[in-house]
Amino acid sequence: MIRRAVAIIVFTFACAACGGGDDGGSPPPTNSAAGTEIVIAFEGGVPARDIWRQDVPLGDLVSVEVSGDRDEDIHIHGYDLYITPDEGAATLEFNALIPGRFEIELEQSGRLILEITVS
Amino acid sequence: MSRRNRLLAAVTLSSFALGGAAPAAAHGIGGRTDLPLPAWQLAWAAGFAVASSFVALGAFWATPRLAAAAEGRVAFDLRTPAFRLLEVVAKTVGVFVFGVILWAGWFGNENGAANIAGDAVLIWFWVGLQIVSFLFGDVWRAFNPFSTVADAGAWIRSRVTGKPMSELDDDARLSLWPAVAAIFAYLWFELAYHSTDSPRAIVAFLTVYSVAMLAGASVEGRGWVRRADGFAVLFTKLAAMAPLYRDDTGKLRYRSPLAGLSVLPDVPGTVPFVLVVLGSTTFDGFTRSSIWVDLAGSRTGWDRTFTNSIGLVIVILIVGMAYSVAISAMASITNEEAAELSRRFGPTLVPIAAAYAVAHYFSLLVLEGQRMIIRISDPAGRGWDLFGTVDYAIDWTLVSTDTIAWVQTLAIAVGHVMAVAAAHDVAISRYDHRVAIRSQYPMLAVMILYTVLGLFLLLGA
Repeated sequence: MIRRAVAIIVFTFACAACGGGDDGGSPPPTNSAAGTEIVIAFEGGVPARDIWRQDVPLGDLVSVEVSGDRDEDIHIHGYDLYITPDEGAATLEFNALIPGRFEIELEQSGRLILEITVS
Repeated sequence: MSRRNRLLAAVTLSSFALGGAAPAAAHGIGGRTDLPLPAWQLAWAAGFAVASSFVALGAFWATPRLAAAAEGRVAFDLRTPAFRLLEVVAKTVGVFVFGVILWAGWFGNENGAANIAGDAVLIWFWVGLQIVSFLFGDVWRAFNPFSTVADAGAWIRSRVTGKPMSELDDDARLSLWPAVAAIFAYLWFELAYHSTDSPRAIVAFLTVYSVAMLAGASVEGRGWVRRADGFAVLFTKLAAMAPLYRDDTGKLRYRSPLAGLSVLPDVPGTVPFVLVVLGSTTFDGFTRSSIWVDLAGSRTGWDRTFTNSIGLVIVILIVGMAYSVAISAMASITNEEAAELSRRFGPTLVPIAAAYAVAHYFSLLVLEGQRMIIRISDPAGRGWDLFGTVDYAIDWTLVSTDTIAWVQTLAIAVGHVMAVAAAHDVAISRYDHRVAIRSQYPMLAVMILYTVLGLFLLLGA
């Protein structure tokens, strides 16, 4: 019986796998020439905008543009990049080579600014 | 150009300078979460869960099997001098590693990423041992420093007073409610507290936990650790699914997976324990949804802790209520007492808890878990390089996002089938076949609910 159950599982997922292949469940990495621009503006030390989510194609060149005053480092998780406050207005560029969903947040207070979804 | 250079220098410097700050993370530890599951994959898994549940009613065995298979066969006798020695080594390693974590946490680098405490406790201990337990059995029992220290204390006391050591099992007082409190305390710390990845906070928690274990043991006898150590209780429950176990006489035996669930002792508090763990993992998944991010993402400090605490309790209550509604419905079909049924069917939720753990934490273990390679060379973040691994760079592409998605989907689907199978076995051991099948409709409904909910959370929508 356990064997039968296993057979059912294997069968279903074999089907699922075929079905998925047709739909293109995993798009190939695209490298758009335009790149992704992320603009983070601060007003009175806090992000001017509510938390948002941004999709980034895998392999894209991402430029993070920061303006306005703030006291804290901005931390791009996973990529482990920091933008310090003494730079004032600043632009940081990096290649989005790690797939996944990552938080960009104010480092000391842990306040989330946005999430990027690299896929 | 010079501006760019200055910025890069600032970026590099700040990553080193962060040593002094205690950064806060949103979800326990780390800032990477998995890509949302593709909708077609989710639909397949959900459909499979529903279909397999109903197939199971007709196709699964008609006479109970798990209890008969629970004894298993002897693999080998562990009561040899070599294994005795290994046991002592394991206990020593357990106490030593625990000591290193306490030392690094209290006196090491305050930056969570440069201290072994967070990775060791939140990733390797908590997630790693859950997975090891349901795959290979109750491995933690060999290392558990709390029972080692409690046993040592009891031994010294018996030497001093001349009285025999207190019994391990005092059946009359056996209740897992202390363990429910202990595991909830940990889960609150991991999922609700705002500064979970601060090494000081982690060891502060561990210290309080240790004091509760050892003070309890010195008052109540060393059986206390068995009732109150939430970690050990969880690992033991998960290990009941494993094909290996150690019997009372010290022999290692192998048996059919899941069989151990049928002989889990019926101890008060077991069902709430499983539901608290299940509800907490659900909450952790929920915190990654945009609903929660919009609600709580901009909150910081104790404000965040407060919001998280409320969310955690509400999700646990919802998960628990779903179970209790299903049990009431079943009780009205079989004309039995709901409390009795709840205790009988409670262990069948363990595979779902195991599946949730894999689905939510597999990528954390294999990706962020790699940081342990660096940290074993420099546990306290003091610039050491004991094993020459301090320059290791985490390979974030070690497993592809497709692999992660499949592990998640399969874990949830297999866990669901296992839970349904375990519940089916309990039902046919209690009722004749027709009533058994009817009694299972509410149980199937709640299990499908948990599974679809688990999948939905992986959508990260």
